[in-house]
Amino acid sequence: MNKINSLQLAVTFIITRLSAEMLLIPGELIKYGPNRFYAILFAKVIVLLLYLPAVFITLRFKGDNFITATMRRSPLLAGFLGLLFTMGITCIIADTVINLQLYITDTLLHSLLLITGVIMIIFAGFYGAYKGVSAVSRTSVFALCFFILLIVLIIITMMPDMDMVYLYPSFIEDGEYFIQSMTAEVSCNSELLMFAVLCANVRQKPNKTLYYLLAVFVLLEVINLIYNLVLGPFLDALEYPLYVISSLSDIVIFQRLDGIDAIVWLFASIIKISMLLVCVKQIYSTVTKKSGSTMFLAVFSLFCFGLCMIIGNDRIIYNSFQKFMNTALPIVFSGAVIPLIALIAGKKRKEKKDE
Amino acid sequence: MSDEFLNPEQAVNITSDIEQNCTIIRALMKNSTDLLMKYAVVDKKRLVIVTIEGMVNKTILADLIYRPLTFCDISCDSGKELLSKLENELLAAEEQHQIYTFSELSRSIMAGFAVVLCEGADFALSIGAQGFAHRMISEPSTHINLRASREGFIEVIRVNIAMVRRRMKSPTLVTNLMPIASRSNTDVCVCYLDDKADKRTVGLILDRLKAIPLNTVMSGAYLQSFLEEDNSSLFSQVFVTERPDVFASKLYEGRIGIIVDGTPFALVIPGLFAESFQTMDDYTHKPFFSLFMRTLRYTAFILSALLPGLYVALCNFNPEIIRSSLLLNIYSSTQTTAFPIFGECIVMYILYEIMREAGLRLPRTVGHAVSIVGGLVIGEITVSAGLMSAPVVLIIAATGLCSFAVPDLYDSCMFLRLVFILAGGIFGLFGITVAGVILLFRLCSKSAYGVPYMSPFAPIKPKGIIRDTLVRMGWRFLSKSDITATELKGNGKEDNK
Repeated sequence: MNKINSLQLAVTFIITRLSAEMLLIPGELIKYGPNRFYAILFAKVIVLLLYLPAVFITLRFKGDNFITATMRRSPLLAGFLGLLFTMGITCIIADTVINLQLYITDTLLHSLLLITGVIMIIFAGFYGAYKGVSAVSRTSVFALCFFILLIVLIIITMMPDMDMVYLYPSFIEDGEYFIQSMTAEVSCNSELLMFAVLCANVRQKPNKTLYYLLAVFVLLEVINLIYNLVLGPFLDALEYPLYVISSLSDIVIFQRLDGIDAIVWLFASIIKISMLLVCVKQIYSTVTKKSGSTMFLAVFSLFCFGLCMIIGNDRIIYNSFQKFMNTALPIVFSGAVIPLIALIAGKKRKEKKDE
Repeated sequence: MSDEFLNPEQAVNITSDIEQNCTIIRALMKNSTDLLMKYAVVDKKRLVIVTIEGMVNKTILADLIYRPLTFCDISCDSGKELLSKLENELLAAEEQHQIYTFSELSRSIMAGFAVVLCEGADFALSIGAQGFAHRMISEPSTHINLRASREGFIEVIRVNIAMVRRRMKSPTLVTNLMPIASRSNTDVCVCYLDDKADKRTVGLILDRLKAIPLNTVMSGAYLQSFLEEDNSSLFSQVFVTERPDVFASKLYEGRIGIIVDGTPFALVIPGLFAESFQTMDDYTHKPFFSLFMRTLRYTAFILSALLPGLYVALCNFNPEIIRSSLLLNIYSSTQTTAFPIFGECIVMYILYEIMREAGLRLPRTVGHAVSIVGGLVIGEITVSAGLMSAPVVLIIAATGLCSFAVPDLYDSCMFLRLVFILAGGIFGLFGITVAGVILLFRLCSKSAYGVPYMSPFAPIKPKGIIRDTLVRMGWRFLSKSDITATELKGNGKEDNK
């Protein structure tokens, strides 16, 4: 099995999380003020709790993932859980690809056809997954470097436009909205699913990867702060706030940074898609006990392409799908409930052995 | 006939009949005109000295063999005894050994040895008298620097090994010389520091070299594809150098070096991406200068691969990113040209590469003419004739200049540039990003003998990056610890697929 270290996986998770930040539709979910600060904070606490089953699995089964642990108990159960988990991942891949395609059409390339965009994004993701978990995690280091460069440039260039008045305390004024924001924030954490599978690929202590949560928390809050300080009350009306802020930045060579912003997000999202495909490949390999799974990966990528075309072609289906994804159900179910079942199943087997 | 004599596995032994031996040698060499056979008589026994014209030094031959044989006064009972006495008492060459088969004899005379056969002896004496004409040690034509050594490898393997030994006077420096390729019998020398190099990698490289199925090897580049783990890649995992000082310093980092006879370019394994941006000057100047120069080289590499593609993408799809004043200039210049920017870039790029290739292969005097034609006609006239816009000429010229800042990656850059122009021209920044991500996936999945190709950037090793990759720390810091190629490995399982 390919092995990576916990730092590499943490960097990949940070990139995955940052890519999700682009795919939020802030206009629907986020109001200005510090509400989002608390939404992010609470969401991180919830995500940390959701990680617990996967963490316990790595502790109990010496670094194995949930699917390997269940395979020892029953291949049938493992196959069933693997299928449910793959469904969760498929939803996230479809969500990411469609939103990314929309984002590209809205920002970089207005003439891009849905089919061309989806094919290119899925192909790049497939290629990364084909190259393996090491290749994807190593590539994420470069994505993080680009992202940090972008944020630093934005902060430097937007400093004169930041206004502290926008930070007035509006604290939780609308409970329903706050919960919506928080679940949407939780729904973005597809790293939870990746961790459940990829913990088996981490050398030494996989749980050290979770330090990434702190890094992500700080990064997101910094981005959130920039949103609020620069855009203030206009944040409500914008679809991609960081893109707008980037477009206002002027760094001498370029009049605006929005192109670079779009490149970074695209880069990060392809890494996320690749990593999700790696997870599916690994589940398939474990359940079928086959080492070569390139053909399966290609077929699964084609399936994702078809799904994206169906969802992306119809606005009504897309909206319903988006609402479903914002409930965080796929994340919670696949990332926490399935590992919890695996944890119990693994435990039962151990008890029988003891008897 | 010759094959059975040359094949070491079907070794045909030298006989005690000197005439028969001479007949076999002539037949073996197809009566080649450069085969010299000098007969002599010592103590009433016939001797023959076999050499190849031009491969031996005539002075050495006269001093070491002809003169002692002419004035010797020894008496022996048999040819065997005579040859033994010649070997032990009379002839005092640095290299001399007994040979028993015609394949050994053939290899010896081809390598510049003089072989002495004696009537009644079923073996021969091989005496080192090499003295073929060769280029003198001179400044390397590539990797030129300001303050480091001016010596470059030459075509003679023994001289090259000596140059490395002079720089690494350590008993742990191992040089393993062996012939490869069944027809050309080219000598290759595998060099490594026994206490630094990974033994498994050394064994693997030796096995691969022995298994190379080529009949002839004329250059180290012939071996490269057999030593690389990913032949289809644009980027080579074998580092090539013409400098003995660079070669020696790589050995100190635990790499394995291969010197090939007949070429001044030595190979170093494993070769990493970051090494293409390092020069000897980085170590002879102050660290801040090295940091600046390396940053420039990385920037030059990125610009060289991406600049034309980005230009096409920005002009065609995202002009709002470019400053208004610059954009106006670009558009005003394109108004008078015949082609769209995408077409202009492709045509200009191809013209540039043709000019470079022509300038490279032509004799120097004509090469200058090509430069003038390129500079004046392509640059000036095409713009004034309205065929190309000035910004495109500038972009391609700047790109060409940047690519020379990192000469090791020129080939890769040349191809990448075309890919990015196409990606940028068809899909804009979206295409460039997708192509870039795929390229990074590919680069990050590569490893050379267990060492990730993009190390220490990815997987990230902060100590490696700040020590001697992007930043070159001062010698006081560097002297505290070493990083060898083995330490850059993961756990051996950290590989793609």
